[in-house]
Amino acid sequence: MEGSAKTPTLDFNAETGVFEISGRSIPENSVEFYKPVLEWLDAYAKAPQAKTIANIKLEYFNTSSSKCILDVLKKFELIAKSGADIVVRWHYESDDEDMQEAGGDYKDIIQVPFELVEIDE
Amino acid sequence: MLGLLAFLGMALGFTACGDKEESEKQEKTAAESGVILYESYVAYDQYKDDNSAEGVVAKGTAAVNLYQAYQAYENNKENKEWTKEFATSAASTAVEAKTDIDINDKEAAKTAISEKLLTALTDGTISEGSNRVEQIQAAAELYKILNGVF
Repeated sequence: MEGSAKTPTLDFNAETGVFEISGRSIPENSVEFYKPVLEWLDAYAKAPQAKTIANIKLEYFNTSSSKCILDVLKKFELIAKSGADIVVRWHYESDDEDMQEAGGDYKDIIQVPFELVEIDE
Repeated sequence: MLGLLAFLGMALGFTACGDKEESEKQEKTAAESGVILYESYVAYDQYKDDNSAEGVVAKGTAAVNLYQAYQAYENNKENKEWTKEFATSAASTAVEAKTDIDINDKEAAKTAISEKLLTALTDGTISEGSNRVEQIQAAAELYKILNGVF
């Protein structure tokens, strides 16, 4: 799903097991926006690929999105608990300390292999 | 199951990002910063005493966004047009969120909140936040100041 000024781009591929969320997340209704994402992940979790990679490349998100992102990460946690190989890669720009620390917060909360990946601007 | 997933994949329209320029980091406008100021204030208020995992994430996000909206004001406070748009946007968001304001009074309420907001930000003392911990502490000070505005 292509992103907009208020919503992130979602690029999920069940056949390769690679998921990407990128851009800004400030939708009018975060719960409604993320609902199909969570439903999709529920379906994927029933038969995940041998290796799943979740790339998160957000540059800004609001408070309601922060909870929805946590819900998304919890779905990845469920996939990990089922025994599947999964890694979450949280990408942040080298000068964006806030996104780096936000990733660190999620890393502390979620029980799933979680990498913080610094990218050049 | 793979068929279902393939179908769901198509339904979600997994395409590459279209407009590259739009995905690049953009500085927020005065109006966007005003909306973020009010929405983050409300979110901080909602989660300030919530120490669950979800609450900690939401509170931290609200605090950092609240501080950054304030920082945008600090960086532009000499620009009268910018501050006016910032305050009007925050006030409009606040007024639209309140159901107990009579429709005929909305414009007056926006003006009153906008003026009060700029006065409070000018008069209030808020610590500089150079890292996330300091930003969260500064947001707590800002929250107290905004309590008297919104």
